[in-house]
Amino acid sequence: MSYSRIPLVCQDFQLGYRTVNQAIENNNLMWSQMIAKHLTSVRSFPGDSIVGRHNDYFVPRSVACWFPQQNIDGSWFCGGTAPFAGASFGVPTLRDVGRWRVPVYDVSGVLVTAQPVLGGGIGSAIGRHADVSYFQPSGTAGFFADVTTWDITSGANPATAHMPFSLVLWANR
Amino acid sequence: MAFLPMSTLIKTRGSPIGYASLNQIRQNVLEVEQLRIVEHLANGKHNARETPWVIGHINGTTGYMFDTAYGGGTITQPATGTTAISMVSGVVPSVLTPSAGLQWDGQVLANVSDADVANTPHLIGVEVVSTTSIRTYVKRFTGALGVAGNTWADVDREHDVAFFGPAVDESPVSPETFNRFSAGQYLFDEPEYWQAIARDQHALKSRIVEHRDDGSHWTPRVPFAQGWFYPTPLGGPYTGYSASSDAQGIASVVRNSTGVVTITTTRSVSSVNFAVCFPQGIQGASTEVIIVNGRCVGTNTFMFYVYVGEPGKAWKRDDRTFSVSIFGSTTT
Repeated sequence: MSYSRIPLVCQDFQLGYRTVNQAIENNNLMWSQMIAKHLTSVRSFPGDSIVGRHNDYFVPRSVACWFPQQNIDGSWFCGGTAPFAGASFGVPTLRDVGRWRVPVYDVSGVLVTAQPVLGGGIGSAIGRHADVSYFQPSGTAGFFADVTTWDITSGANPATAHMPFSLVLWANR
Repeated sequence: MAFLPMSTLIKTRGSPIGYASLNQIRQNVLEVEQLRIVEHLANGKHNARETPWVIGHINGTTGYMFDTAYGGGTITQPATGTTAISMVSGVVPSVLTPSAGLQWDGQVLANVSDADVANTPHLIGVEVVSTTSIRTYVKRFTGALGVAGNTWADVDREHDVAFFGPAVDESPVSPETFNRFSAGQYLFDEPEYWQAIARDQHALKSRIVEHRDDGSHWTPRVPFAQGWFYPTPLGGPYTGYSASSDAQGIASVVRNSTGVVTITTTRSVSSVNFAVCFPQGIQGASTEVIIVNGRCVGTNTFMFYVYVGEPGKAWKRDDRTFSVSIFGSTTT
């Protein structure tokens, strides 16, 4: 890069215009580098509004883990960690067995990667899988990315099943 | 005070260097610092939940980890198909009673990247065992493609993992004290003020080491290529594959045969062992399961194998849409 090491000076050093110019140019270079992939002002996306946060297609917009929970009446709902940079997600709801609907408000360049992840009980993660089907339109609410979780080895055929999963989402900024 | 571009203030021979412009230089150093300290460590490494802490390629008990500072340095195989990967304590900071399972504060991506994925689909599951260990489980489909069946066996295979966790706490790194020049104050009276400008610029340079000149990320913990890919022509019969219009870092996409795709990237990695990819199948019919395995076969070349299973039917290799994020130690 063209960043230059500017000199330290000592008492009675006559500070010339060239060294001052270099300091100016260094500042501008570093600034342009940082603003290229970082936010410099408050954005409209909730959770994305911190100056200095990343603003790069290659840096995930959100990462989260989701897990099924059962109400006392036996009905299922989806819990999970609050998605970081939650702009892309609302509260997901469990649609069918093993199928999750994650609202995606900005579909530009969206990539969603889901990976079943279990905790506790050695071997409990064997034979689990997750697929994503993108962008089921949902009226004015935007779009949903459906995530279906499968238990492949428990029976003769793949079958949807409740299971927790990691979800990483990239999107254009 | 916001950053003030100063190109218009470039000095020429004989032009006076006033205290106001020197103060602006100093102020701008602080402005850059304010950007830097968010989601970066003092040494320039990224420090964000969205940037994986532990990421790399695993071959047996050898881990080609991109950064072992947070784990992955110790790998064991307690059973066939099972790999235990160590974490530095704190990377999984809030596992809530693993025995009860299910709720923890980290995210994982995984992919089987062994040469055998060219032959048959492989599954990988991930389990959080404790705050300092995760395990991966690899299974290989042992039936014949195209023949009804659903049998899987534990196997040791090369695979890729990435582990995301919350940002680590770090005390803010403050620039040196901002001493403002005042009118009538000359550098030969207070050279230390100029020293602070120079030192802070040197410090900031070291803290943006994971960025290229154009500001783009240059660290193996941030993807250098990604997008989603779909078979063409739309509606079939498929003869090719295309990248989505917003794919980045992709040089070419070639459909080698049904369900076999080669993707080349615009950047190269230092070694095939220091590249990982995380493909994600995108469902066609709602009842089918898509397994996409991918592997690095050249310094800028990745092969992907798409397998489709459906209840009551055979596993087969087929064309489906999938997305990929590719990480690695790029040479440029």
